[in-house]
Amino acid sequence: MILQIIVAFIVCWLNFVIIDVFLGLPERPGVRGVRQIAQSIKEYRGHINGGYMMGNIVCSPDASAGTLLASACYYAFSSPLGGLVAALAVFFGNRICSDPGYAGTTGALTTTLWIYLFSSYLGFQPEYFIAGMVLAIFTIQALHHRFSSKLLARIAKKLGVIE
Amino acid sequence: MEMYVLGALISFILGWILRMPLFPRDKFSFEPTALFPTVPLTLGFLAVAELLLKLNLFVTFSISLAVPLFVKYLLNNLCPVVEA
Repeated sequence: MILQIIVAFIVCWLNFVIIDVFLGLPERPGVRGVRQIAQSIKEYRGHINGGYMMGNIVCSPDASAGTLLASACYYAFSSPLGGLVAALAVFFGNRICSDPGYAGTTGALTTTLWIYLFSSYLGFQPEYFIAGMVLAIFTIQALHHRFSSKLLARIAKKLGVIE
Repeated sequence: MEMYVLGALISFILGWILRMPLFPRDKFSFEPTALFPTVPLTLGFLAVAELLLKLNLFVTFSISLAVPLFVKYLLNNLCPVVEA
């Protein structure tokens, strides 16, 4: 079970970081409050673009919220239908935060696909993905802000999203 | 499964008939398009319908016809865009 949670953690981490970076979270503050969070991370000797992404994650539902909600709804409904319901909920959550909703909805839909494939062919349970996503968001938002903001900025640079 | 594919196709085509752009202009655009959010919303509403009642052809058609109309005419009034 521990090994399966570690695999789910890696899948969730890659899923939400790649989708968030590609859909422009490190590029600019999407909603109010993000600039203040990014500024305080920068003052803490972090990276401003990584701070934008971390602030955007806090201030409106993005791919991390989509991943977690899709896992939870998949578990609650015991079927991929839960992931589609989660995508619907995340989209309206995004629009309430005045965010277009591309990252959150895409994150929820891709997570539903990953859980479906992993549970069908490798015997994973949706709860492993809930645990994996909690660990994944812990590594970005809680463990070490300076390091995680620099890591996110480096990933964004590698993927050509920021200069 | 086939109901979801059918529903996604119908809503995408109706979005195109309603003269919505087919794909989003950029990743920060709020403009509703035939692909997003029409198709994910159709899939979500079909999933809700399947959980609450039995999904059949009539329900699939009704939802996939209603969602593009909702996206085109109501979404931006229901969830207005606030520029930061």
